[in-house]
Amino acid sequence: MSLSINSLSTSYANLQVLWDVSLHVDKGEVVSLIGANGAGKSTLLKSIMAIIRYRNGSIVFEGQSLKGLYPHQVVARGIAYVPEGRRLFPSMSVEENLRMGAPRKCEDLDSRLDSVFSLFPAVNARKKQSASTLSGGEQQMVAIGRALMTKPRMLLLDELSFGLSPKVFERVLDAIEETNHLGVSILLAEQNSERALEVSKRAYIMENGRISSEGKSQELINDSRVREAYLGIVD
Amino acid sequence: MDTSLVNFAQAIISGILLGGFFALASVGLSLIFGVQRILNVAHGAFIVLAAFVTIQFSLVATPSLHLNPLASLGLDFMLIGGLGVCVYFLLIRRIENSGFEAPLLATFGLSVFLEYIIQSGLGPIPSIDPSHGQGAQAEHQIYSSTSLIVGPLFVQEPELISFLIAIIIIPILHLFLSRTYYGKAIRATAQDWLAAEFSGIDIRKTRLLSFALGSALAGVAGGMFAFTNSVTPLLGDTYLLPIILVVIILGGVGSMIGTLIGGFVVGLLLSFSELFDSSYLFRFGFQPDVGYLITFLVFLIVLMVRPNGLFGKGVVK
Amino acid sequence: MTEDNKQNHSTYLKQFSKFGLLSTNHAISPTIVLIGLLLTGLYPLVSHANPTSLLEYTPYFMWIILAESWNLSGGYASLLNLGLVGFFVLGAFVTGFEMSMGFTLFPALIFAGVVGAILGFTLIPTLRLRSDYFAIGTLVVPFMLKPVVEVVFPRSTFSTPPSEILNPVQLYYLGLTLATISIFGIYLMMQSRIGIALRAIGDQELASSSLGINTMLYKTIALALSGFLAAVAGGYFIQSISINSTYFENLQYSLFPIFMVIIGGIGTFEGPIAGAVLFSVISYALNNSFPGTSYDILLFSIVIMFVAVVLPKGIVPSIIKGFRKIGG
Repeated sequence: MSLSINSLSTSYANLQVLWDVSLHVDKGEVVSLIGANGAGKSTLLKSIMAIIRYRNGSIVFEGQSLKGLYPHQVVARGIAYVPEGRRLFPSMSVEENLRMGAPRKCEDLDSRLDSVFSLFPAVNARKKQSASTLSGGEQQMVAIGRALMTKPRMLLLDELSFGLSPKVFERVLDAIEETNHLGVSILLAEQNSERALEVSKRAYIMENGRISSEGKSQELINDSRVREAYLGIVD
Repeated sequence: MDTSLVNFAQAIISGILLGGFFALASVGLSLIFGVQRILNVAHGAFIVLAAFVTIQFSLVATPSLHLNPLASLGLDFMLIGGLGVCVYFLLIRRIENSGFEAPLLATFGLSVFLEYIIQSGLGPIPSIDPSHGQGAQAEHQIYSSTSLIVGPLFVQEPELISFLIAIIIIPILHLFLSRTYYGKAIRATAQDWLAAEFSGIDIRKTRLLSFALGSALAGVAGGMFAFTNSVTPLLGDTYLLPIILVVIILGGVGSMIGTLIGGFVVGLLLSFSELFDSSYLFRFGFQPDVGYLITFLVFLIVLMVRPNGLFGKGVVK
Repeated sequence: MTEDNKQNHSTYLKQFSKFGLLSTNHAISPTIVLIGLLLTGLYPLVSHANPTSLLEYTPYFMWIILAESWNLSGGYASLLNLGLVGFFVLGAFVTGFEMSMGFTLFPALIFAGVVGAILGFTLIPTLRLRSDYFAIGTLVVPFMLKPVVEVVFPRSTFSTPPSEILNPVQLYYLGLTLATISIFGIYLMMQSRIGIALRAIGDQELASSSLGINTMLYKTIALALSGFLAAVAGGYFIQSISINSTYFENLQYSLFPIFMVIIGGIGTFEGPIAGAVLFSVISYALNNSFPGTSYDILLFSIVIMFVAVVLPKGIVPSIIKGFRKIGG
């Protein structure tokens, strides 16, 4: 098992947002996390990244607890994170943004850059440009590229489809599947996305800070209640 | 040459040289404020502290060890940089994410603390009630008499040195931030510290580095300050801090080259305003600082029209 | 309504009800403060103290007014004004000048307050700025006022004319009256529409502007009233001391009130009062522990740093929070 979360509870000040969340991602697996805005998906990912400190429960990655680490130490353990809204460094070039993902002393910097560029040829063409001049899709690619520059064994993706046209989202998902074939486990948080369910093997559904159901993605797609509530499809 | 032309040329020279010093004094705070959003109101006190280190050095080490007083600049850099490290760990680290007010108060307490240390190291301790004025202050200045004379124009040697240091250090700092890994990591932290963290950057390290570097640069500026000015313990608050804030905002927070130009703008404004005949104001018994009025007015206008300054984007870019 | 708006709206309503008139502990603090002020008023009558010793209280009343003034803009309206000293010293100069021109105390004080309010109005353009730039802009204002005042009031020091000097008892009661007016004036104002709008702005600026509150108008009102009070505090201060234009450069008059408001609880009714009292107690205790030396300043600077680092949310709020925890 790659990542396992056991009965996690998280609060912002006095407001509890995660209740007893348990979840696991096996090595090499793609798992999606489905739920409405405010269901707690982002909070869960931020808890894994140690951006939010949690009260109870445990987060274990490759057999080691992540408790008490700083975010950059979680990154060093092999987990990378693509946040909602991308959060690139706006006054830096594309290449500099990617460079920031790699550690200071990085012998294989060029090969890391090359693998990002071969995944996203569109980014290669714009590597000298300032990140703020890119289109939404290109920014998303740079954000994923920056995360891949850390050479992760697990990738957390928050709301990849945000602001993207279905065509561009499709291209980004292809890249994610390609990354997964290279052995990177993936946890994909999305609201209302049938596509996310289709690329993943298993899925969890979150509701009001709790995991309300879990199962094989295919079974969830066929579940009429899930179809109606989360995929917006009325049979 | 015509006197008014000479005065004009002299004003340009003095303004540029003075501006170099202002830029040097401001660049450290611009870095710190740009990276951490911390308004270190003790920055002026850092500079004055370094000035007193240099004065002590010239009184003690220069006669006995035959060292040039300029050698104390290295000492200032190390000492105030070290002070910055201590201040970061003791004060800033715990509260850097808790808004604007707490770090402001902490550094305000620090400036009162440092001013006390400077004053008590220098003879009579002034009145203790903050609501009353400050008492007797020691005045020191070193090295100021040497000047280079070129035709009708003159240049004070220490002012020239501080100008040269500014135009060397600031471009180097700019290159450090734009070319090296740590420099880029500092810029990344300034632009989005959370994104920097999950890119794998240890932001505690980059913030410590920028705070220490910013403080150390205040140390160098303080050393030069001792060569060009009569230094009194409270000058940090009453003279340096407002000018520094004006320079930083004019140049654009976090832009090192912008800070250099902001320094020149303020230096020129101050030196040119001395050209105006304000002698009619002497009938009141003293001369108000018209230069400061003009400078601060220009500052407020720029702040309204271009809040991010003439060159800045609000963070270390 | 989008999801985000809904969330903002509900937090706004929550904040609203927290400050609402029906809140349970609403009347307790004002009652305690009123009793405290009455006792303060009785003190000179029952203590048989040497009247001259009453002079020691002048700064404390001044600090309360300044803290109230800063809490109005910095606490309720979230305008981080770092230039309070500008309003304060300007008020002192105007009062001194008016009184030397033959005005009596109260018209001079009101005139000074109006000048302070006008200075607040001139800062309207800065209200558009991001909060930290606003702070820097206001920090520079007193340094700009200094040369202006030197031209407009061409003399080196200011004081009240000898014939108008108040005796210590009068000075004590003047301070008490002004402090009471500012405390309860602001209290009553905060119950009005203006106050409710200000609280809404301080809590959720975006939400309140989307709910149709004219944020600029209310921020301007807060800044002008805060300027009025700070100037009156200056007018009171100059009754006891003569001052010169270098007072504009004294950051402490801007930052001590902020310290008081923060330790007492920013944006609350009791915050500035509790903070000013706490500040006065600390400085009095330090002052008397080291008579004849100035170690108190050193220790006081350490107290400021300690509070900022260990209790950045303030002393009084931390105590209240502690009690609530114990009480369950």
